[in-house]
Amino acid sequence: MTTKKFSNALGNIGENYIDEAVNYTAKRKSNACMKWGAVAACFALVAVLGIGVFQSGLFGGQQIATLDNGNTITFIKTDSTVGQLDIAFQIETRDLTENEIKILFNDLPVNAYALFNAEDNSILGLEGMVDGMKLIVSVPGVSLVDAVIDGKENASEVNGVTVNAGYFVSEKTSIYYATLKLGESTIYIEHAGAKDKRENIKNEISAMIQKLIVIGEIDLSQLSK
Amino acid sequence: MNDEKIIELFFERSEQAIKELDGKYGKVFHSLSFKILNNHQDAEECVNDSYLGTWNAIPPAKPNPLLAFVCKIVRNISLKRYEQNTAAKRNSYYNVAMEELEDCLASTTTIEEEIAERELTKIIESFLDSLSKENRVIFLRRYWFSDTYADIAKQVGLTDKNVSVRLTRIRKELREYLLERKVLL
Repeated sequence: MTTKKFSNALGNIGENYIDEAVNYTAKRKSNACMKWGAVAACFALVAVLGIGVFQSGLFGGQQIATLDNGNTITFIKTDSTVGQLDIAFQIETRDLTENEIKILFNDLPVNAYALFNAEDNSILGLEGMVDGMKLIVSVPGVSLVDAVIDGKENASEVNGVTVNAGYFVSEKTSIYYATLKLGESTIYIEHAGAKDKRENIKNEISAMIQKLIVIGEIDLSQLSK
Repeated sequence: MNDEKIIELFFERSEQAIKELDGKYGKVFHSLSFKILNNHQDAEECVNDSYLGTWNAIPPAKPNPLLAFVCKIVRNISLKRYEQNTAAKRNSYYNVAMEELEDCLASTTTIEEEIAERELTKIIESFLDSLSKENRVIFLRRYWFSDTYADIAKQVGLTDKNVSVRLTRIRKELREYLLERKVLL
């Protein structure tokens, strides 16, 4: 049976099951559980603050791409894809014009749309594709992805810009991603494809990171709804 | 505004119904669609299409619960869009979640007469009934909503690792359940 057929059949289950899944809340944990929860939370905090430990390769592999300027980008293996963004605003989107793309990205083949807070019309960021790769740019104070961008110990340096990079591999898919700051904006770039193409994917995303860094600051404050 | 009042607005053919529905549940719908499509603009369009679908369905439908009813419309429309988009890439949360099910559903024997989708839905529902409430929620949050392990862990009060182990067991149970009922041979 295909997963598509299963997914379609699953999609037609009774609404009572969906309602239960939407409204389910965890039972209150006992004190003992809460203590263990606190211990777990501490571990989680250590895991986040000490992302460098994971990035050292002690808990997983790492892959290195060498750029044509001699800099390297180290991709750290992760156990899951970058978490979804959970925007706390109602959003509205509009496509960027050719002129806006030219101003922001020079000659890079970007196709993107801007996201605005529907309530106050402020710019939140933009999202799109560049040469087959997903590109997300967030303005200061807004995080459109939950990728860690502050790990220092094993971050890479490209032309003086700090790049935190990772990769995730499932049964058939490999996803490479990186975060970096250009000016005040936070950039997230992701390239995905078949698992056996991972070397190409790694090299292509690395070359694109270099091109983005050459562009320099990406200032979204000039975009309006 | 409660759901009954929103449904009343639909019956009165008041466009305020859509505004109220969006204000109350818009983020849930957007999140569901986004996890399938991995693109906010597509998700926004699918949610808007779903509102039109809801407008056309109510009346005569008088759904209870309203949220689950519209979620189903959002999921179906988003999956259709996903299929249009998917020739290009395999990179949505939905895709990764579905990959997990591939081994569970794999069968070496070709079934000549494939089971009808409606019958399969009934079998899935009876499987869901056989699970504990917590496991049922974990399963559906993963494979109906395409939630990440971290999302599920937060909702049910477990660790990511616990969620992963639970899902592995539930998939194994599902495979055995389907084999017993000759859905898989």
